[in-house]
Formats: sequence, C-alpha cells, structure tokens
Amino acid sequence: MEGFATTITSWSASTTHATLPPRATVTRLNRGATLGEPHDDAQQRRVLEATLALLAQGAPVEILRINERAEE
Amino acid sequence: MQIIENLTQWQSEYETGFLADFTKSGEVNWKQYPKVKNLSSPAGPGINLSQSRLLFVTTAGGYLKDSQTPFDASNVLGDYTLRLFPVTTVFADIAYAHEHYDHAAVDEDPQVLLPLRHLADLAAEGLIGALAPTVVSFCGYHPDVTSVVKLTIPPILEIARAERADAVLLVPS
Repeated sequence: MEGFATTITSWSASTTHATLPPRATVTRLNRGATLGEPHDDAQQRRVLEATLALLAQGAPVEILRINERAEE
Repeated sequence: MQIIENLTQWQSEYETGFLADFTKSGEVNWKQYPKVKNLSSPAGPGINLSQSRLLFVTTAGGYLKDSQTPFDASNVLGDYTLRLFPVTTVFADIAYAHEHYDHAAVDEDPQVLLPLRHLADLAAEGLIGALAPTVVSFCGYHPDVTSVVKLTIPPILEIARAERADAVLLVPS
C-alpha cells in the first residue's frame, strides 16, 4: 500500500506468487487457520514473527517459504 | 506502481466472461474467472518495527456481533465494505461472516486468524513499537478486484494515515 510497509502470510503459494505482494511468507497451513493450529501459540508466534521480520527489508522481498504445516 | 497490473484488461475479461456468464445463468463458473497475474512487485524501504506503528488488517470477516452488521457473506459477487473495531476487543465480542473457509479453527482459537493477543504481547515485548488502535476487517471473498482497488483499499489507506501507521500486517483467511 502506498507509503506503508506491508507484509502478509498465506497458505496459498499459488495466489501469493501470482499477486507478488511486496513482502510475504508462505506456509503449508490450512485455509481458515492461516497462523497455525488452534492453541498452538508457539507456531502462531513463529509465523507472525517471520512475517513481521520481513518489514525490516526493503521491498520487494523474495517470497519466503517457512516450514510450518498443519497437523496430519 | 499499480496494485493490480493491467486492471482495465482484467476488468474487461471479468465483465465479458465470468460476470456475463453469471448474469445469464445465475451460476458461478470459476472456469470463466480471470485470475490476477502480476509480473512485478511494489518497491519500498524497510522499517524498524520496534520503532513503528503497525496496523492489523484481517480478511476473516470479523465484526462486532452486538453492534455491527455482518458482511453480506452469501453474496456471490462479494462484499467490499469494512468493519472497524478496537485492537483491544475481546474475542467473545467478535463473530465471523465469511462463507469461504471452515470456521472450526477460528471458533476454537481466534488467534489462528486474528492474533490480537499475540500482537499485544509482541508490542509489550518491544518487537513492535506500537499497535494502531483500530483493526481493519473485511470479508476476503472478492471476485471483483476492481472494486477492491476502488472501494476497499482507499478507506484502509485513510485509516492507516489517520492512525499514523508505518506498516500494515495482512492476515488472509
């Protein structure tokens, strides 16, 4: 967004690669649980912190795949 | 830098394909839908988040269930309006109007989509300088990206400016 540093996390790698946001992390988490499993505060924090960390970098930043996935 | 490249061409394909088909048949045919494809990404400087104010934006369809109108979640052409609520809102006051994701996880633990308590903790820990006082919420089912650009994004920018945000975190659902 114009004049603001933005960052996003998504479970949809295809949409993220198609739209090319300035900063993004991509996970293997599920639709409806973008930040992680319910009550898994540690996982939710990891996703958040990795996504927020991108704000330190000038955009565009290469889309960062992080190794977070939903439970089987 | 445009948010959506070749938006005029996209709109033409949307109107003559997906929208025309829906208007004629009353059925949604996603095979007719022109997917957005950007070839480049907006540029801009990084920030020191510990010295910055962060605005949180959610697409989960959250709204204050006792005082706000739910999003028109069943509208197959989308609802492009916003709902605003304080970043300190307790989760019990928030409901979700969005028909395109399973609500089981967010009903069990809202922080899977609305990490309001995590963000407050990160601000208290100093990783985030401050949180903008308002959460911007919309129902992230938006087939008409021109309406997103013209109707949804401008008021978000106004809020970001009014609340002196330096950065925006978007968590889609």
